[in-house]
Amino acid sequence: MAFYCLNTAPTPLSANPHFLVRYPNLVLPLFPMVSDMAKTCIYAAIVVCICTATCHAYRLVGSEALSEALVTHHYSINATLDAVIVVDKTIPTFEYHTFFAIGYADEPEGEQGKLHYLEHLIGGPGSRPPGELEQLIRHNGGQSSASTSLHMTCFTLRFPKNKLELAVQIDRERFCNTLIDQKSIERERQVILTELSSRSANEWTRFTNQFWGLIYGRETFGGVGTRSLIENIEPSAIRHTFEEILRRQRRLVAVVGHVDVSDVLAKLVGAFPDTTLQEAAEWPDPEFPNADVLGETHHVEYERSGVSRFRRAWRIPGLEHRDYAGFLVLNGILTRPSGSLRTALVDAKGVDEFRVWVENCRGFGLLILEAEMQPATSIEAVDTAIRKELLEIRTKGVTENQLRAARNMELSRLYSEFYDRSEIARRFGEAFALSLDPLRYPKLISEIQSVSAGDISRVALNYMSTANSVTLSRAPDEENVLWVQIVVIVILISVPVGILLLTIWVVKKVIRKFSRRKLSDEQVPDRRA
Amino acid sequence: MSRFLIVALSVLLYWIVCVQQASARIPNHHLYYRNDVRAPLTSLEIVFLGAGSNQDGHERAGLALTAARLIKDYSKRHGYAAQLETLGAQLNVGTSFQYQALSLSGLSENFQASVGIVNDLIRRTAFTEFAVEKAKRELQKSYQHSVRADAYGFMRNYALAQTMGVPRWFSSQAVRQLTLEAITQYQDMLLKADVVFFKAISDLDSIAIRKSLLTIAKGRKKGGFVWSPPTQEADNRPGRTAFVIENYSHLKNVYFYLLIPCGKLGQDNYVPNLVSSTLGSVRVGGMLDIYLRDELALVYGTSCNYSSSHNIRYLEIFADPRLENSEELIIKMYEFIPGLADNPRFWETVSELRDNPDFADAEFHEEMTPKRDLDYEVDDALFNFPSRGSGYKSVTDTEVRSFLQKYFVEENMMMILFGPKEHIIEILEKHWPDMTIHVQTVESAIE
Repeated sequence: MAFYCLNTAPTPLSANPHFLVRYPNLVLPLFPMVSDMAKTCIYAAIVVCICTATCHAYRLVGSEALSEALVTHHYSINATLDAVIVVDKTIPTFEYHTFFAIGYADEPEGEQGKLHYLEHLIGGPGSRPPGELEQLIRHNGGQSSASTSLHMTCFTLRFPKNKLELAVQIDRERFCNTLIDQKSIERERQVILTELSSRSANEWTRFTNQFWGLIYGRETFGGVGTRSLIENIEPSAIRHTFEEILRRQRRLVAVVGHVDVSDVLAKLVGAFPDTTLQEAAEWPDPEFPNADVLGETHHVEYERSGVSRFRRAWRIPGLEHRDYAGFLVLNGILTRPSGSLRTALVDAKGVDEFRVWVENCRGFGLLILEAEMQPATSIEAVDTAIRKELLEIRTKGVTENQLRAARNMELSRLYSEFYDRSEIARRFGEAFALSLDPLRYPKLISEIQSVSAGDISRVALNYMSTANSVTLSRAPDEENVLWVQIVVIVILISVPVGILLLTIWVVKKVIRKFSRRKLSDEQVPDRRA
Repeated sequence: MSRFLIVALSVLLYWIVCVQQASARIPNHHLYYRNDVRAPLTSLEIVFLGAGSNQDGHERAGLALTAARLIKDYSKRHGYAAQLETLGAQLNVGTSFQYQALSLSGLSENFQASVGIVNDLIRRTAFTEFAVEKAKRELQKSYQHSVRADAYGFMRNYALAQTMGVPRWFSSQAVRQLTLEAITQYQDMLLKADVVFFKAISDLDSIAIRKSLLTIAKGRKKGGFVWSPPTQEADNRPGRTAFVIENYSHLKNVYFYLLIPCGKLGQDNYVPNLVSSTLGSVRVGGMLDIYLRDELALVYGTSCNYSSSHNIRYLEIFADPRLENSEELIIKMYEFIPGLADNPRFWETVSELRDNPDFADAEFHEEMTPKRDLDYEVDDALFNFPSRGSGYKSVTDTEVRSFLQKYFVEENMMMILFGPKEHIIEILEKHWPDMTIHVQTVESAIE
């Protein structure tokens, strides 16, 4: 269900033109001495004025139902600010998320980490002296958090239902006046260095950063930045990131919870008039960033022995493409709890964990398969099993049962997100940051329902070729493996050799004993004789 | 004869007071239900009370988990899992200390059909020697993986088992000894559990849910597992103890966990909850965050959680200093925690949380989501937690002070540390020469 029109949003009663038509007597006493014609003209003028005023205020872009109980309304507040509102009165609180359509993948080489640093400052003290904002939020029964991802920077507030005005006020203050000076930069530096040292020792994070480095064609990749960048960062650089980069991005405010739609709109319009606008930044080229890497296989070795990983990603169309839902269902087919590629790998191939997911990037997507296993497990065997399964899907297709199960599983997974307000908001934020259409998220429901078996074979055939994929694997370094192999070989050789020698020794002993006894038996009669 | 009568009456009285009373709080086949219309989904838990890890005993640690694995395997091997998937439903078997639960979640439109499949599974499940041996092998493999993925969770269980007598979740050694006979006996007791109850959250109404569940309740025999609530024992203290985990020398931070045991399940929860919130459980800007991150810049993440394992309750404090800050952090923490009772900022924060209606409301609202509300109702029925009408407001300073004086003492603070072993041991030996230090690998937690 989707409808598009101007000014259909709830407006205050006195500002509603129908109110004047329905209840003229309430307004008539104001003009007791004028003629009917003049009255009509006055009414028309009032209606035009109100319409003009509300036209500039906000515009309903569209509405979509998530479920019978949850309906999403998408509004344009001004040229750089959109809002998505979902009324959910299950508990008397609401979540207020602000998404900026920029993330660390959009930062140039060597600059990565500035946006994350800025996120700490905005999401921490914001525009107030240290500790004051945290205390204000806490005093009002609220919570606050922030995060930076590939193409999105997000600030979250959670409050009891009567604190909407405060949430909007905090958002406005942070957007307009975040304090960036030497003191605030210094205060956050040690915290970010602690975060970096924790992340850099995490093998999965390192592996993931190497993978994204390949996709984006960067030598070093990581949202937190390098140690040297963090240690040397200056307030001017962060201020530049704030004023010239972050504040010029398209923004989405997603409000989910116990709120009134017209109240949210009125407060957003009041807080973010057109005068707060700067010219919106241009979006970077939505092409696949490093096409040279497609078809390549990369391998990394780590000093420390641990788990091995195998990750293959296929370039697929972005979130806005009609084939996108097909990949979600394909994901369900590959990871069903029974009789799938996942169960085959985990049950029979010695894989500890096998995950499949769709990663959304600007202008493209990636269908990613990742296996985690012990170093003794053969990466080649895993690779072969994946190729075989995909070949089967491409050539034989999928059965109606497989399709129905995968479709239903994907729908269940999507529906289960509706219990989690943060997850709903994050989905809208992601859809907005990548396609400027937050309603892509609810639209996926009907698209998943209509995926056919033919669609699955087609997307597998069209997109899932080796030439359209990137492979990255990691294993403990070969010296370690060699050393382990030598030990294993020595054990394997020495055990049977040892057993053989022992057997020979025992046999010899027995033979000797037997021959002695025989000899002595033979000697006895001699002696007797 | 009279002595026999006294003994018989005592046993009867014990049965009525301790066993029957506990079970009576949850009637057999009772449905705990919450309506949630936000999604067209239904989740159902079929809970076999008394069939959890508690009944395993030391010798058979992992029996309930092995049985759970076998049920799951049986459902896959005999096509039940595939049938459920086609309907958009998924079955899981989960083991807690108190019970074994079959969890079914999926599309509401197929709920009745899904329950029918699960009912058939429950009644037909049977195990063979081959299946048991296979499940034991796979379970051990899966736990060797899990112990690496959730090293802290296993080490916490290990530490509480070593110091507080909490049963181990899983023991490779014990699982290897399990026989088909033991598993079959367990399964028989499970199916005949005296109390089986249901937890459901659905957009369907409770009448529709109840109707679907009749097939499971119908003709079910009793005489199997009986559950009794945890008994109140005298508090014991772990002593100054640290568990230093081996093979984490590559870390550039020390992951510091402080466990503070604080009584048994069934005791008042308001005081430990208030203390935990003050230090920083879920709310922004808890004391730990302000002190350790904002003021001292020693950590990136810090938290305080109030939780329980078996029937032991504990507060769990976390911090992640870099190596160069770890000594300072550990020292500060050891001054800060036992010194809370004399810390004016602590009392300011306590009264702020207790007397601020907005904060109290926010805490209360978070507990009102259908799932959490349902879990609370069931936990309350199981453990009969003392209730206070006015919540935090009724907690007095005297109660908080006596709680801190009893539990927030060095003899009751147990550390679990991940990071370079030599570095950590050097710090501990330098500052607390009398501390008992256990150096463990994570694998030892499941030996």
